[in-house]
Amino acid sequence: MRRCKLATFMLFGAIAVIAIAIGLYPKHAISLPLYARQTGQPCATCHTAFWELTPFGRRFKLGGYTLGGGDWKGPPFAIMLQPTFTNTQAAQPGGAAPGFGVNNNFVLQEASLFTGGRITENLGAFIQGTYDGVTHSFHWDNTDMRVAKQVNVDGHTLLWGATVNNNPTVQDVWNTIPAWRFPFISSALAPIPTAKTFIEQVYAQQVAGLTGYSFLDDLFYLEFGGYFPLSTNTQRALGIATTGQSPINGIAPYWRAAVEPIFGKHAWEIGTFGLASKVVPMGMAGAGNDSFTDIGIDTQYQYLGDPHTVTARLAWIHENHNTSASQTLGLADNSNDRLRSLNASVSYIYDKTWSLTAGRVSIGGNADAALYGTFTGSPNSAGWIFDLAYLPFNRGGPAFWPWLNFRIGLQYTHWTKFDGATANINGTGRNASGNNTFFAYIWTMF
Amino acid sequence: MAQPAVPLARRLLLQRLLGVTGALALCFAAPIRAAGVIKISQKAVAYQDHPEGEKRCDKCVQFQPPNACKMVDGMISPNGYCRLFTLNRQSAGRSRATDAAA
Repeated sequence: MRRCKLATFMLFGAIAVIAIAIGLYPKHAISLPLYARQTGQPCATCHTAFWELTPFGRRFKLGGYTLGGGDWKGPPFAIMLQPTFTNTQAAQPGGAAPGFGVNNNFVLQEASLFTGGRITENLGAFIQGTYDGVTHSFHWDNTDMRVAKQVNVDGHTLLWGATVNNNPTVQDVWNTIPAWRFPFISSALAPIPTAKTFIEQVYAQQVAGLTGYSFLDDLFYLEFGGYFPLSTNTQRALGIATTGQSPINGIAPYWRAAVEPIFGKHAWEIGTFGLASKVVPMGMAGAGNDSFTDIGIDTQYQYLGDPHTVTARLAWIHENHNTSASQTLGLADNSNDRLRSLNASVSYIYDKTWSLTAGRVSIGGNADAALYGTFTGSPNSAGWIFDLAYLPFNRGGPAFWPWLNFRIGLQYTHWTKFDGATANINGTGRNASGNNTFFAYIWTMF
Repeated sequence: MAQPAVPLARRLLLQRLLGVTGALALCFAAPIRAAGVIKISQKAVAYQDHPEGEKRCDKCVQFQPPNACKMVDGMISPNGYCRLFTLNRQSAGRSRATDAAA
């Protein structure tokens, strides 16, 4: 294990040195892999600071990842590496994760292989497979395959399509919804609040879904579809741990509506999204089903100037959770629980190279000790997240590999409340502030 | 008699996959006035029909004479400009030659 940590530390250092060295001599303005190679565009065309999308990036995705323009003839692959360092204000007794120390951990958090892009004129994909450096396992990751077409009807432009994907909200194009919201990267070795709403990635990679969408006049977006659970065997074959899952029973409808007017350099989106389903609590079918309805509202404003870019994002999710089956099974104290989740953030990006983001996250609801398993019984948590990142190749990559891209960042998370308390959050005297996290990362793509 | 669970689940999965495949086939088959390659709207790239200093569409790698673009939808003026502007090799060469002469 010590050898593994040393290797991660050396990888971390080597990447940092190389990034700084070649960042001093930028050559050619192309950076984001796979799609950059396909379109011939620099990463800053689709991303303000990856992975946040620009209006161009959103339309590229809605168009089924099919737009060309580049002269790349090689295979459509890209690689992502995330060497990280995590420090928590108080050590984590027993280790941050099995095989890791109580504090100050280096790890290659994720290594991913991407493929996809344009398959035919109207069919494209985003497919990610990931090695998880914390659990030391491979699994399928976010996957979004879509067909899209554009038609003109009486002077109106209608872009429409369908997506098959494995994670509710992964198909979305605004950075307010759970799959793609801030923080864009976070530590896998720091404590996180116990409670979250179902739409907040609970079913990521455990389901398959089909949704249809339309984008009228580059303004009105509408999407509807459903998700069904993958069998335990299928999930295991795809590398997903199935222990403790509460699977969807039947088909879970998903919806999304948004409007995004663009005024010159200003783009403003306002919308709603949601997911509802019957749920088999902990996979125990004997007592019937729980059910939930998650309804979210969101808004995003972008100013896309040069050299200044600003993005403000806000999303609020309300969950109504009928836990009558869980109550019968002794897995919940109440027959009905509610959660409210808030995620708000503002980013300032200078010269497409330096990014500073401040964000507020909170989740709240009524207490249910059996359901949430927290010491206080409360699901309430709240905190602030600050992220400073340097993206040396957003404007120009090194001559030897123009698609190399880095996001080198420092992130600090300050918890004002954690699992329902500010002090003694778990009965051992640990305070919420003990979970404050300093996180450094070198997010690398090529 | 108890039914074996696995074949049923497999059948259900097959049915669902068939449904998904059918839906995708429908999407492919849509015949009406399709516009071919889906390009990006002019609005999304802040297109303007006048140059931005020296930067104008007929100097861009994406421009397709006389009035189109590989990336952006609709009629494109050679004198226009948008956020995607990337100088083509010819123009870059001319620019270097002018600089050298000066």
